Amino acid sequence: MVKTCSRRISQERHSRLERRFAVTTMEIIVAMFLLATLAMIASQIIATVVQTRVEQRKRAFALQEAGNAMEEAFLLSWQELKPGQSRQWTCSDTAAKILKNAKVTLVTEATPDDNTRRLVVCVEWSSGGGREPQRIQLVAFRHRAARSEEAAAAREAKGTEKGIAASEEK
Amino acid sequence: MIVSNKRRGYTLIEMVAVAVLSTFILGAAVATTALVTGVSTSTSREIDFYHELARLANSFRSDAHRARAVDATSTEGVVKVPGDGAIIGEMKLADGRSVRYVVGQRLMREVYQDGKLVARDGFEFQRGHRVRMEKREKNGRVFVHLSVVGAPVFDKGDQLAAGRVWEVQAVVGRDLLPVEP
Repeated sequence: MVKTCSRRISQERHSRLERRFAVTTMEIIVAMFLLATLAMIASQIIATVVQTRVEQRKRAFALQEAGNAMEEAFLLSWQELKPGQSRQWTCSDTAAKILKNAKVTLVTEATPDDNTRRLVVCVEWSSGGGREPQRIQLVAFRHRAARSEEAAAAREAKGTEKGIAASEEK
Repeated sequence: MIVSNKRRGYTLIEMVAVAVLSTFILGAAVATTALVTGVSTSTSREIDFYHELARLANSFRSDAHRARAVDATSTEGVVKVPGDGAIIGEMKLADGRSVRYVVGQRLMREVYQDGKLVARDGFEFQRGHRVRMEKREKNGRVFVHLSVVGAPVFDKGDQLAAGRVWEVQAVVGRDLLPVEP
């Protein structure tokens, strides 16, 4: 009776150990799967961070290029700033190296005020991989300076009734 | 009974396998953490650099637009190199003040009035960044260029970084131009 019982216990334990061995294999598989998943997520995060950093750098370059183009755009005479006009700007060598197929465009737009123009400098570059081209815009307003003779007349008549009337008319 | 007694502990193979796997997992975790920390640090440095560059561009353009004359040395100053600061350029403003750009521990913008220092502004860049000011003429207008050349220390492993130029251009005396007829 005792022998039978002890054999039974031994068999049970033996079978449990066999089961335990099978579970261990499963555990390894699960662990490897989890590890692979974690590694994949980590690599995805790092890739995204690096990609964002590269994009950020390109945007900084594009913004710098737009600022430099705006400097030159402000030197154009008022007659050259016709509403609806668009002109291409040459991209600097440095920006051309960083930004693929970069295009710098200046668009002049009219505003409700006839003596003001809206200048839009747009820098566009292709981001590769069949994605939409990236672009940034820099906007500034250019005001027409008062005509010199009008300004001189206003200065002369300053403080007089004529001057006040002239300024009210304006 | 004998069999169960034998299986009570772990075999050497199991121990070795567990140790190897644990080392691998720990190593991967440490490497990933180091990589993420490194990328994060260099990214935040780069963002700081963009902010400083934007601040510098604003001040530089504002000075150039109000300047009557510019004296650019066209020599490069290297940031955080021991020694006295190197003056890379000076602008004479219409209101009688002058602005000096000096490269030392950082790029300094110093405003002088009657030969006395009245204001000082600093721009933090990384060690090894080179700064240069040049005067150029285009279409009959005088432009002043401020170039910041990237240092290899800043972008480790980035081959283009050493020769990367951040260039800010500004028209000299734009705010003093005569009224357009």
